[in-house]
Amino acid sequence: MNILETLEECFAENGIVINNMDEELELDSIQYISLVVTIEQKFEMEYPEELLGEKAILTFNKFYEDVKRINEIGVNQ
Amino acid sequence: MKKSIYNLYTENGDGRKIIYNSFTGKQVRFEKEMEKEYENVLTDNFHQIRKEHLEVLMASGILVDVEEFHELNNFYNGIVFNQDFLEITVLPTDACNFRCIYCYQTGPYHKMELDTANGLLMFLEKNCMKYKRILLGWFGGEPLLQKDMVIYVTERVKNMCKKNGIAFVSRMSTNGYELDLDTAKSLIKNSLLFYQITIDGTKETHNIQRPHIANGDSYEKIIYNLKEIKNNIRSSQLSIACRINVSERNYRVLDSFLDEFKEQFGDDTRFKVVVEPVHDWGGENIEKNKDLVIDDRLCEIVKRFCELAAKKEVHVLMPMDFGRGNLLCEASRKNSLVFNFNGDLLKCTSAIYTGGIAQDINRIGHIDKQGNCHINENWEKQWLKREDDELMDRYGCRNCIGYPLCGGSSCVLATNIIKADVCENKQRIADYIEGIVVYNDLTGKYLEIA
Repeated sequence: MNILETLEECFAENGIVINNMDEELELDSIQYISLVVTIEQKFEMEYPEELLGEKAILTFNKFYEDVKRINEIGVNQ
Repeated sequence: MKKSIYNLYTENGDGRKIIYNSFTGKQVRFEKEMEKEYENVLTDNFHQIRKEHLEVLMASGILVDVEEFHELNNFYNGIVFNQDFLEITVLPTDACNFRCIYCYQTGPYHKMELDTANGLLMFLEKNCMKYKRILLGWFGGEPLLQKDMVIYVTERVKNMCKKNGIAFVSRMSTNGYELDLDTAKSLIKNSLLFYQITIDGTKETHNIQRPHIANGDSYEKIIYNLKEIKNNIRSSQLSIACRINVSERNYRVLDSFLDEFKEQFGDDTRFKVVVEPVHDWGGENIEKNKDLVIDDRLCEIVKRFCELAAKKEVHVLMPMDFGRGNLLCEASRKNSLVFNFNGDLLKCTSAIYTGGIAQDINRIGHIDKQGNCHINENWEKQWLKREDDELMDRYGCRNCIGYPLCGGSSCVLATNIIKADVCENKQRIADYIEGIVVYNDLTGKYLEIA
């Protein structure tokens, strides 16, 4: 599975446009929840609580790094 | 610079001064040696306040340099007339498998036919691309008495949103009896993530207040279902709010209820508790059980509940957890509709049973079986109007600490339609805020001036 492409699909399915992978995303609560759920379903993973903190600055790259990290942990377990 | 009009000035059990601001939801606690700073706030002696403390007070909204009321009004008008967001609450049935002793809903009972549901789906197919976000709610009666229909509709709406690039979430109020693991899996995979399930205390008190029509022990079944969900469903965004309707009869078991909740669900932050008083929701049942109603002791109960929950480290769901405006009634929003079992479009689930003109004005339209929507705009307008001066003066909204939470629209049935003499929620919201302050203080959710 190509993580980058799949993640781009997740964003597109939730109507979130990516102009710049490091640009801070302005997501309301419904968009955020819907996006996280889409990511969890497509990657068959669960977001750990520590990565879902309120204060995290949300960018496309942050989600990308999170998914890569969670996938690596999943493969190593 | 001035003090916010939405500050609550109080102190905790140790005598430390606290200021809570309902505009920001932030709380500041003054250590005992800093009481002078607290006095400086009260007496508008801002130039005497230390710079670093001024920064804290400004950041928490306790001191402001804006016109808060007008800012809030603009904010609320933005919510009421928002064009990007559609909320539809579906009532697939008004039947219920419980006979709660305070319930306002009565028979005869109905269920939604498939072609009515398909009419809704056709309407959404034609119109969903106007929105960026859709929230689909399920209410009743008991919606899971029509669980196949709930799954059928939710799955199709989710796929529709996915195809059109629309964020989608769904939620449900259910008694939990039919929420077995397989059902929960089917719902959650279709983004039905938010559940409100009422558990009225311990087994003993719950089964008296919320009896199943045939099983004398609904409590065991609900707890079993919730444990199965907790242990088998891994979805970080799942949220289960276990609500307790506190009455004069189950008030004595608050401590035990929280102990049991902690033991069974305390290690899972997706499970939270919510406290509500039993009050007069209308209908015949509450007339026969008036002794249940606990409105005049709400402040005491909410504070006690929050104190117990904080000390036991039980997660409590607070109004501010969903941000400013969480107590703004859905009926006050233009793009918030209730789709009844017969295809009628309503604004308010409570107004279904009020009788009289309110019940008529509630029925603002209809979606036919071809997916065409017909709305009576004159009646719709009654629910949306915000007659600022009249409303604010009649209900004392302008300086009410609850205004940032409700925008003067905590119950538009009462304010806009029935035109009640007083705001029944004013004191209730103030009581809740007192509870929030206690909870925040005991769980460290405050900024410190030390």
